[in-house]
Amino acid sequence: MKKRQNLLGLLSISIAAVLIFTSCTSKPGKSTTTVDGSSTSSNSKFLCSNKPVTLTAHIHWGNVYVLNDNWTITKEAAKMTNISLKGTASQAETDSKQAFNLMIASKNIPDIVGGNRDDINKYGTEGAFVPLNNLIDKYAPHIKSFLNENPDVKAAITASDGNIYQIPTVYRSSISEGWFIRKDWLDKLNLKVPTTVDELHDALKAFVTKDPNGNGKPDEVGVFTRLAGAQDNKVLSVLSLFGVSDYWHTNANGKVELGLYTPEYKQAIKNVSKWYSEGLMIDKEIFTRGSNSRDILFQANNGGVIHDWIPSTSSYNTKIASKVPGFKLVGMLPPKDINGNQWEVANRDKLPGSGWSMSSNNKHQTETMKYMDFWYTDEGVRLSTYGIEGDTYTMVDGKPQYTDKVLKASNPINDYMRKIGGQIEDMGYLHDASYENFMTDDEGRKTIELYQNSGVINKMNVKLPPLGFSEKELDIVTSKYPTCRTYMLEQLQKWTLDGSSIDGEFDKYMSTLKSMGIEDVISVYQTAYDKIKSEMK
Amino acid sequence: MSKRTFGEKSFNIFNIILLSFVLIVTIYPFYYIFIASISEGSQVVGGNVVFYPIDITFAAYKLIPTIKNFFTSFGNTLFYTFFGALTSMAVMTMGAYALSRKRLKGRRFIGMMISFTMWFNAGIIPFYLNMDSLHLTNSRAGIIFGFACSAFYIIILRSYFEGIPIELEEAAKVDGMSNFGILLKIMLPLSTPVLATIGLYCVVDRWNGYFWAMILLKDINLIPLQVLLKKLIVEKDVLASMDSGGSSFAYTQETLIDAIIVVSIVPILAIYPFAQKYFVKGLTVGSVKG
Repeated sequence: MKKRQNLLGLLSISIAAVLIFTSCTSKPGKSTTTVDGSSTSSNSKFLCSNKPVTLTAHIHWGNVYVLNDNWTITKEAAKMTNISLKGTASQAETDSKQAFNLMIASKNIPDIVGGNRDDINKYGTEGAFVPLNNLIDKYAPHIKSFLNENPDVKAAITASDGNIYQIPTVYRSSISEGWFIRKDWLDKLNLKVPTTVDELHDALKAFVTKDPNGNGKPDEVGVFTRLAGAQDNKVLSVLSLFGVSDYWHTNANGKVELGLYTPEYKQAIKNVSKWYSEGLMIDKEIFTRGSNSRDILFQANNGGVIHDWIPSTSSYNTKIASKVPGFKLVGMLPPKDINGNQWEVANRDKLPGSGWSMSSNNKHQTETMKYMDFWYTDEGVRLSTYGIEGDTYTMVDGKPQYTDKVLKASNPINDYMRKIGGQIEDMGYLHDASYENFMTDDEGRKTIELYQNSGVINKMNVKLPPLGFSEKELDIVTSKYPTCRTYMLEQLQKWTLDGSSIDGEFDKYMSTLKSMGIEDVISVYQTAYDKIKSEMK
Repeated sequence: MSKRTFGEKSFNIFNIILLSFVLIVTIYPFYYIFIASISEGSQVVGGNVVFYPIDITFAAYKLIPTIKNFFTSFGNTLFYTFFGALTSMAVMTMGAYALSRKRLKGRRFIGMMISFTMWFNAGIIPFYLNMDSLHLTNSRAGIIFGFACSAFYIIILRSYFEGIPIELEEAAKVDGMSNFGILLKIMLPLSTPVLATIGLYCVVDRWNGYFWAMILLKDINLIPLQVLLKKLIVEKDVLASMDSGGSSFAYTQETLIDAIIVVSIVPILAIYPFAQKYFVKGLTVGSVKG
């Protein structure tokens, strides 16, 4: 009898506990905007509203960074603008795309929505988001003048119905990747920094045969890259040494081209395959190592040459110094390719695609527009990039410099900033790349300047500017391009590893791609590109 | 020495080899996570840790208490597991008992509807919208009550209850016992194997449950440990592929994640040996009547 009573007692206590705990969670209100009682009035010229206003915002970016109450940067912006943001996205969700889709599906669309331009334009044309053209004209002078000075951006962000729905984040620096080579190995083998593709070939040959890391084992890898994802281009930067760019680009005649679908690709891939068979290039594990290649190969003192993002690659000079004595990576301009041209294949896209929009049930559209304009001002940009003066940065000789709090943190600078609400690309702002100087060493800064002043970026085979597609055009691209791309990459891998079949199979490769619809995709891109060009005149 | 044919002997040897292989393949991931968690970060990322730990360090474990929300998440997991399993068991045994009584009107129909849900369900978005309109998103109640029933377990429980001789119930009824009393005083005590088995399944399901917790819960203070773990893993991947050179941080992330995995496996591993004897009995639950 006692046992039964105890059981019953346990059951009732448990149920009571469950009910108590579960009722103690806060339920977010359904109202979209509230006006706070307390006000932090300031004479700031960035005031967007006379009374403090709180706007709800869905900002879930990069799978990791979610707007929450701990963001000090948005709080600081609230002091300057009188606009506070309240996050509605789930902090538990680890997939930004899923978070966006669920938000749209649930029809609880908050005042501000951060997201990808294609998604925003799609729902914007259906009425979920407010067309911003008139609002920009009246209340956003900084955005307005930026768009007028950059007609290519304006054309790219305009949706097919002529409206602008998203205020984008814009990259203003075109520096991205560059070539790096092991100076210590060159010195050991008495070689100069290569300036042509043939010199690079000879240097690589020396690297893999003459044992510059001195351990008696032929474990050196000539050229290697980092594959950050299955469809990543980085392995294909070597193709640029043979005149082919894998990015969507325009050729000398102004026609849109995709490098892996050109006649020139045949001799390029043949050369790449030859290099591979000579053991010069990319180690056998390139297709499996993934994004940690630099860590693995540099640490093991095996990596020789790489083409990758300048700031992070150069930072290995400090990172590896203790583990590999004498390690020295220097940046070099792209070697002259097989046709004698010197050009850099990579650049930074002007529009990463992220930005934010206003929902149609936003009751404070004027204030919201002014708030969005704030992040296009110099002060807004500095707040987002460097944070709060005195706390995360100080002004030194008129230029912002991060404090030790940021520089000596265990996580990288941009991760640190993003965790307090800075440099969030879903909050459309003008990107300032000067902070990258702090993330690299002297060699990195030197290399950035080298590339900037040399004119090798955007010199030939220029990557396409950001394009806007109509929904029909987007359909064609999404339905045909992925299969084409997978096939291209499969063949690339196959031919790299075994080049004997290239001659026999190349024509079939081109006709297979044609039957997969690659030319429809190319003509869609051509149309979009022509449209942008004409709108820029 | 029993006489065994050559065929039997060779089969034994083949069997042993095959099962050893399966054993190694199954155990190795656990073993790897464990040795990775006590190895030095850069060695793990560099791919050097394969069979034994290198540069043994407990730095990752020391870091665990410093992670924001670690203890909250761990507490949440314990809460969801314990009360969730309890709620699930309470709801399911009551349902299964009712379904096992032949005198229940519409018994076959209800039983079919329940089985139906095992094969068809509406999908993620309709379920999410459902929870949203019931105001069960972003709340602990949603996680506890929204997932209390599993059709499969109810059917198992029902079969077992059907197997208990009806004479016991009839005798109790003569003595004037209520339905609820019969359930508590007669059915449950006789069902310890199946209760332990299903109970263990519920506990493990709740402990590991992360998908719906991730979708429904917005507030970071409500999430269980598994969701926190997923967040850290995604963060580590993002950092690794970022053009930021934050690799030294990624090293610590890598071993930290392994340490957290070990910490989240250990409680369940500890329970299993005790529940094992019920498991064996539970394997044949519901298969023999009377």
